[in-house]
Amino acid sequence: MNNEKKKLIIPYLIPAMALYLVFFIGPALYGLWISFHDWSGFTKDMDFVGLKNYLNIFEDPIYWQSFKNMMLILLVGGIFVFFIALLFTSLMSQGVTAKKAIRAIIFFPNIIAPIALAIVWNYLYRYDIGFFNSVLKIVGIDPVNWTSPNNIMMSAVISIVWYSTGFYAIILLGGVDKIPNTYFEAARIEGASTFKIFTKVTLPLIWDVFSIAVILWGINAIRLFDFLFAFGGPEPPSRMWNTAMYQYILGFGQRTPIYQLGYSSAVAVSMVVVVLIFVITGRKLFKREVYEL
Amino acid sequence: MSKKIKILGIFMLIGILLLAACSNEASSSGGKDEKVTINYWSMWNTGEPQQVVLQGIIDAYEKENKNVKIDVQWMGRQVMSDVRNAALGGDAPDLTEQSGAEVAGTLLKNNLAEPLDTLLSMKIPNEGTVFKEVFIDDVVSFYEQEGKTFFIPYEIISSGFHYNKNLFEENGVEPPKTWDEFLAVSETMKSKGIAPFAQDGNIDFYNAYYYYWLVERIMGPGALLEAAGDKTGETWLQPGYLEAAQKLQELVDKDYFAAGYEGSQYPAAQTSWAKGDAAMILNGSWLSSETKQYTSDDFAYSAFPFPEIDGSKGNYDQAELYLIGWVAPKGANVDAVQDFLAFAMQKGYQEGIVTDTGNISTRKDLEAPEALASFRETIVNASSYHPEYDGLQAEYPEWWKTVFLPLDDKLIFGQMKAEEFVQELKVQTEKYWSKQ
Repeated sequence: MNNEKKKLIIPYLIPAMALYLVFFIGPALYGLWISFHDWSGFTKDMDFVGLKNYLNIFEDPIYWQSFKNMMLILLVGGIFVFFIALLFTSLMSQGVTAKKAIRAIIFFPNIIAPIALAIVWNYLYRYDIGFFNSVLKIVGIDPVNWTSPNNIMMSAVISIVWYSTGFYAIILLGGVDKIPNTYFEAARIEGASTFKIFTKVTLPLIWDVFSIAVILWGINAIRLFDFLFAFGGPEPPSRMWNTAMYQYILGFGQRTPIYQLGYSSAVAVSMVVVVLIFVITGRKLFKREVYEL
Repeated sequence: MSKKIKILGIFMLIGILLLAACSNEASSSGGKDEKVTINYWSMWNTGEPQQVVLQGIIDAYEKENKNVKIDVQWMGRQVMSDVRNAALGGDAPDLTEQSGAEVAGTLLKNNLAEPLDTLLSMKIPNEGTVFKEVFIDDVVSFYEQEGKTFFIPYEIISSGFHYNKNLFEENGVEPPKTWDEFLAVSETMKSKGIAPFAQDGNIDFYNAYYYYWLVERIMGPGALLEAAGDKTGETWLQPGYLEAAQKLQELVDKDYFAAGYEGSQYPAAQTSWAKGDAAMILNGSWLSSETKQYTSDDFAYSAFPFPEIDGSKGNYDQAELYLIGWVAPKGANVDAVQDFLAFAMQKGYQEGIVTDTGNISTRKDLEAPEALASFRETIVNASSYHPEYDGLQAEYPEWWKTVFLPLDDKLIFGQMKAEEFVQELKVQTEKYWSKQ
């Protein structure tokens, strides 16, 4: 019976697998093939250049600046996202009224289109009439140039943290919900403080959920595009590019007709490598014994 | 039971594959209609003034030519990326449009456009004039290649300093013609508490206007292109490039740019200028239509070309031509396209470019909007033309975006001195070419 059931699965899997191969794996492999060529994409003529595009990456200052921006979002953004998310988790797991309403509120920024958020944050950061500088003026502090070349990436990270935290907090809270209340009650009876309960009971029991959330954040942070692109204006300057934006601009040029599909594909492959390194490292770092509930 | 389920599963799979094949057949069998269809992919977005004007022309053309359908898609500024993808698949549209620089850098560079020379000798309907004779001199031949015409411009953009005439009069200043006069006007405005220049610092190619125009004036057209194309980078060490950088640095050091300009996100600075918070803004001639809604009733738009610099090669009468126009990608229905373009260039329709979009028409018998009258005068009386940014965007787009613009931003933000700027240009240009 089991063997027959297993054989039955195959015809049902074939359509999905075929679609996945054709629309995901196939283009990815083709992208890898393109990365070994010098190609504008306008004609079928592709010049094979071997590893030249990859060697150029090592000497490309714009790539490394974009890489630095990507790492800023990944690491600095990640630290703040999970610090705030864990804080929410800690508070909510200790018993709070209107839990559902609070969850809806912290998740709310996630349902707004990133482009709309970018427009709002651009207004908030405006030097002359923006909300933040208006508040600073009221309290007698000099206005800050939030989107100056030196500050713009950190300002973008603040916005990204603001709209991302809710999503990861909800994931962590989902893990907390699985923990029976008796564990918390027992800990309180034993005299454990809120902090101790969180570090010794909650966190170990949601560790697997936490590790998945961190991996998800890493993947999303590395390939982040929409918010940053919209935040940068109609044609974001290179100081704002992360690797995803650099790849797009190389391949599709915006209004500057660069159209270097080969080099753009090489940048894309490098991002895949970064994601793989992050996922493998993350899985190893977060690996520990899973506690059964 | 399990056998029945197996058979059902196989039929489902066959069904899915058949459905996919049928939809393919259905979509490819639509070509039997005798009507001529012109596929037109436009760079404008729905709702933009140019879109409204062009839609009017299309509607009028279809009314007079019942056998022709113009299937227009308003794709926005990224249209050339889509044209590229379609061209690769052999399915490019019959007609598209963009700036001449972008058309040259994409379709013309890759021999992917159809020549439209027959159109030049066609008559404009209802006018009887020969097509090529309605244009301001040399405009239609500006992007000729090997004696062939591929690009038909209908809108001229130029760049210069925009200002409020009334504000200048109130402060007793005249539009400057020379660099010294320009500095004097800027100083006067600053002394009266008005920021001389508005600048949206996040738009790198707006920032580039300053250095580009300074090199045009000091060294003449073609100098930037020559330096960018020198694989050794040595051309950048010529004194004119340093002088241009020093003049820009002077503007920065004297604090002429409005506070916070480095971080100003478009369109914050230009709307502030329109509201009277700054005196001048160096920008394209599209500015008047973009900022109209922010100005008060007593705002009198005007503009003046970039000032001359005494003793320099470049002159006031060397005009910048930034053209917007049509091109027929390879494989287009050229006859149908040419017929449509001849119709579209009628004076009655091109008037919309002036009155509704607030831009300069390429027709020589159409005056510019009042705000752009001085730009048009420069263009019509020019002794020579050069493309925007000296053609760098079309000729060396990657160098322009990844080498020049980041360095130029550092110069205009005061993060780099003039001497370091030209040195870095030399070094990075050499490095750029060594990787090509």
